[in-house]
Amino acid sequence: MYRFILFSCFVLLCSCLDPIELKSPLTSKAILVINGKITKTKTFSKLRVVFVNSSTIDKPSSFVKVKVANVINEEQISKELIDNNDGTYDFFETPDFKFEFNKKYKIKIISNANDVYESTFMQLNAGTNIEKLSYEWYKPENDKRGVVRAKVKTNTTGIASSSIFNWEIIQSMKFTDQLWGAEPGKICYATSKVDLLKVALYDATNVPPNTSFEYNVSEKPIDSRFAEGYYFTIVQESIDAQTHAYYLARNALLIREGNIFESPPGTIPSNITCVNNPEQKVLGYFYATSQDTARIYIDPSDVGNPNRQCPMPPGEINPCPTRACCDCLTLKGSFLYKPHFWK
Amino acid sequence: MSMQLIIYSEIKNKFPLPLFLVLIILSYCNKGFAQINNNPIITGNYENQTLESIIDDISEKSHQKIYYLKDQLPLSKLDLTFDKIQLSAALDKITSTTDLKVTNYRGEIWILSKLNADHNNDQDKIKQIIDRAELISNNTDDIIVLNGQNQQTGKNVLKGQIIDGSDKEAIIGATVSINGKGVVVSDEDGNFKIKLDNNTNLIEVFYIGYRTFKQRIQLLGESTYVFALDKEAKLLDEVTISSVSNDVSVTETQVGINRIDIKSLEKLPTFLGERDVVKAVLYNPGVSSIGEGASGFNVRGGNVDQNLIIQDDAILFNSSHALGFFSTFNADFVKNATLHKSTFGSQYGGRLSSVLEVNTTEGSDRLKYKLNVSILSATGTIELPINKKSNFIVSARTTYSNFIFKLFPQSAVKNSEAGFYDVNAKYNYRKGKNYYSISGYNSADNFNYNNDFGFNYSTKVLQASWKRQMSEKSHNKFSIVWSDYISDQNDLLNQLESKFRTRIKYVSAQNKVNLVWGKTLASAGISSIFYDVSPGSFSPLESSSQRQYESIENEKGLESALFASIEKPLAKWFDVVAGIRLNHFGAIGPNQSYVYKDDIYTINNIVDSINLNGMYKSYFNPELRVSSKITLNKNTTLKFGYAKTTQYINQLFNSDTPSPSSQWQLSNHILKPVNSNNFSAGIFKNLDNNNWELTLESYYRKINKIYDYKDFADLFVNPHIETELLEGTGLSQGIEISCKKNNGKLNGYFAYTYSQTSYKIDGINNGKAYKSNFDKPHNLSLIFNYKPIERQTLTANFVYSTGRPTTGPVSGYIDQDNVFVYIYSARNELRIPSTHRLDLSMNFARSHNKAARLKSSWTVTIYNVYARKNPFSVFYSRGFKNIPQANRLALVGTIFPSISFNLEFQ
Repeated sequence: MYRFILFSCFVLLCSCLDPIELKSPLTSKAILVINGKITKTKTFSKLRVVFVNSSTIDKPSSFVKVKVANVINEEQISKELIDNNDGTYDFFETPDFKFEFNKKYKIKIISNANDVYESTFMQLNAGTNIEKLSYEWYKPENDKRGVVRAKVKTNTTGIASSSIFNWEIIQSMKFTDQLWGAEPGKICYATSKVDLLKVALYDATNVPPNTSFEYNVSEKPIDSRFAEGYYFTIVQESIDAQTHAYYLARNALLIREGNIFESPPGTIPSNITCVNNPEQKVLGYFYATSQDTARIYIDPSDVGNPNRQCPMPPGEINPCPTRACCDCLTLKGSFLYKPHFWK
Repeated sequence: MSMQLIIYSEIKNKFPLPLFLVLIILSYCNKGFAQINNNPIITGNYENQTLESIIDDISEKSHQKIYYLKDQLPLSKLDLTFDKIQLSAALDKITSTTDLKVTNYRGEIWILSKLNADHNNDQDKIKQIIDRAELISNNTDDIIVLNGQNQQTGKNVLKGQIIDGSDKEAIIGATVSINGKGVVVSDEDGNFKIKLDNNTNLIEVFYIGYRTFKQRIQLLGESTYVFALDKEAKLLDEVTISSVSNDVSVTETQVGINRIDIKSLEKLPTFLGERDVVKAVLYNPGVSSIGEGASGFNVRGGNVDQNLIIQDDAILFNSSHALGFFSTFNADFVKNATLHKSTFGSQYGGRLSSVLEVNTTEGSDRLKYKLNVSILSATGTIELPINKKSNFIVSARTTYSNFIFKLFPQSAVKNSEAGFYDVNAKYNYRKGKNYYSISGYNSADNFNYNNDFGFNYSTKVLQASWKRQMSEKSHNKFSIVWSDYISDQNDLLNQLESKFRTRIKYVSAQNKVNLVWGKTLASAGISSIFYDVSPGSFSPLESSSQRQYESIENEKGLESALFASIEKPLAKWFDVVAGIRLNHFGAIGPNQSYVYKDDIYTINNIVDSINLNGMYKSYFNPELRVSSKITLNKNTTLKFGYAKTTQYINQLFNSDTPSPSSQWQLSNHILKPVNSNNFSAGIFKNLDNNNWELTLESYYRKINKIYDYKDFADLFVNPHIETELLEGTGLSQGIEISCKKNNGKLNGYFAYTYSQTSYKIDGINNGKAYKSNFDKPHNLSLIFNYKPIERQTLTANFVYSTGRPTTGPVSGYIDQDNVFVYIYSARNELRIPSTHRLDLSMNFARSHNKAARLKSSWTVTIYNVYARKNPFSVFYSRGFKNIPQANRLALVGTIFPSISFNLEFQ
């Protein structure tokens, strides 16, 4: 009886989630996706626009070249973006065309098919700076190695458009490749964006104006990434409510888990339209934001000196348990030179 | 249950004057000559028992109704033993020792005196005998002569008092008629005065709950006489739960009614062996649900929140426990349950699709205990008679799953909690013609997953009613209800530890009068509900939480209605029920709202905010309700129905199924009431003396105003919720077929529905029509009951339904962060796989003897016999090269055995 009860409960709790064959009517016509962002930091201001075609039943998603891409300010002054020949187009501010706070900008694109696409005007708002970036190492129950949690201290200004936060998380780690029984090889420094599937967002419009608060922007379990040194780099963006809605929708689509109370998928809102053919479906989003960056180093000794991935401890017969152990340059975003910020 | 069984039961309860005999005759007039069904084998040992009790017991054991006239049975007690002999032999044995004889009358077995029974081949003669017996038993041929004082020729005064025959309490308001006319009513002491002439007068006394008293009196002088009325025998459970005749589906005029057989719940194979009223509702045609474990149900294309769910007079806003696996209704406390689909009567309102009316038990005049224990829950019930006038019943149910979670090695499960309890209590009091009832309901649910998230919700209901029998042909019922529903959704993850709370409080009052004259039934009433709704608030659970306190002002509303209906046969072949419901809803401030440019409800169009005070918006909606019946022949009718329905409170959720914390939203100056026009028509036919019931119904529902959600709608603590909703129309139509066999060793039920439900809303799918979330065209239910021997029932049920619509990925792109983002289809353009399931259950009763004080039974259930992984929903993960991989979520994805034990002591 006891086992029977246990079995019953197990079945109840461990409901099934398994792959099935279900035909999706994959579309046969590609949709143009335009994503653009004006970024203003303490050191530079630039606009980058990315053009891609969506995948179809017989073609994967691919970058697209356009005839011309322009940025336009409130005075209707237009500047052409530079083609990087990889579907991305850039514009760095110039003395005669600056990206200024409280000014509005839009993008206008003419495709090779002579369709004209325009975004709505989006305002560049002054954001707040990161007051402090810190981390804590804590060990949940039954987790011997623990977790590192990056915490940003920032503040509100009282202006709604400056009190919604979007944080990009970038990790940098040192990694030495070393075969079993051999001397240490190359030293690589790998830098990559993480938490891509769930952007850290926080709407602090309900926090009283000019109030400092702390927010946990990322958590990483302690593993070999922390064995030789690790940096958290946090980029803080202040965004407006419309852009917040865009990111919420994007997050909702990217982290779907299939639970029964999940809201259904939909179309991510876009502020770009095809001017000459309003019925044409266009996806993507354009916005302007100010950014502040902070960085913190986590020494291996501060998080329990986790084991290196290479070489493997005795007992492992595979001399190259991962590609990175044989060649650390295979790590994503890996270079042999030490980043300027590395201690 | 059939009228025949009611009658049978009445006889069983030792009516000395079986008034119903004539009805028996009428109800069996269609049958052929009697047969003893299969002549079953009987075993029994009776010592010092009356013949009446012996016949009753044999009748039960053999499943063969045996009728008799009590007056003709000897009063002496007998010793009889039947050792595996056939029923016919047992009856011969009985009659051989008495002056009785077995005969057949209109297809049934009768035990009559030899003198009477000798008219074996003359059915009319026997009818005369039985009719005569009925007259004799009413004592109306025994004339009482009251000499009294002050004898006068002409008229004399009779001072009468009407009392309860058992407790001698005065009965107030009993109706007294003389020779079929001249009605008087007894006063507060049960007294009345009438003038009678010197001739013999037939005095009849009527009072609800009591058998009609008839007495011929010759009054020669002023006299007093006490009329002691006997209570109507308490109906046995099996009769109570379906106290309607077998042919009700054919004869009743109202269309779209399904009655739930509460008695059979025990035998239905259910998840975890829990008897469930709502799950039984799902077997009816036109009723479906999103999937296993979904809370609520959908009726004729209506959303979950479009069902009015009432327990006695109280509206329940959450009919589920354990996130939908169990219903809130405690089967031991339920007397009967009826589902009214789309074209319901004028006394019901406030919802578009259906009414699930659940009436709780009225208790017993005997002390009773009931215990039901299943794998994860237990129910205990006590029925306690306090005195002759009042009784008390309490029933409680709880789970003990928390204890079991702790036995698991996995920390996530060990740290989880799930449980619920509910308590029902009711006090009934009767004084004279007045019935009073006070009842309470309290339930609470707790669900916590690994301290990550959880739900807590509770319902409290207090209600009181006063029923007054104004005359034999009219009664009045007044009821008041107070209810408080609180639902919390707890987010327990670090830095956002918070509680989202919604709450609905309401107070309602209703008064309803029913009148009968001739063949006409009429009812009228007034009802009013005052809502106080908290749409939602966020509050931090820890001081370190990043969540700020947020809340939206409470919304208030007053929903009132005047209603009236009349049911009248306009011709022998044509009956009509016509009613009207005059609805009024007022949205009551103070509330803050926003002003939108050009009345386009988007955040960008907000131009101002305003304060709304008093009853700032009113809606008045007259609703016509009509049903008609054309009788083609005794067993076949055609029915038509129409109802307009309006709803002023809606549940907001944009997930597959509402969560317990999905908020309810009252209509206001922006969000207008939703309404629909509902039509239905059907043909109803019974065969084989109502053993077979066939129905074919079709319905058409035009939903004139419906709301659906924008993509990624934010419904939590949103002060401008209207910006997340879009308004449009809906259409639902379908055909429902059912076939039911009521009796026999093998009986069962078949129901099939073909339906379509779609919405058309500007802003969704470019304004093109799309399928609703619960559009499942094919729905099939099959239930078989096989009773090899009396104490065992094998039940099998099979259900099939088309998969419901879903939205899936049809393309994708790489965005600026090098993340592949899927592009999804138009809303509900795809469909998840169909669902089907076979369940089995076997019910073992320990004793078949209904007279036994202790009864017990076991029910073994195998749910999902062939371990079908029925998809509740489908979601997509990233497959190879970002090709979307469909994954089904099956909530009960394997075979699931369970066992439950029922114990009843009385």
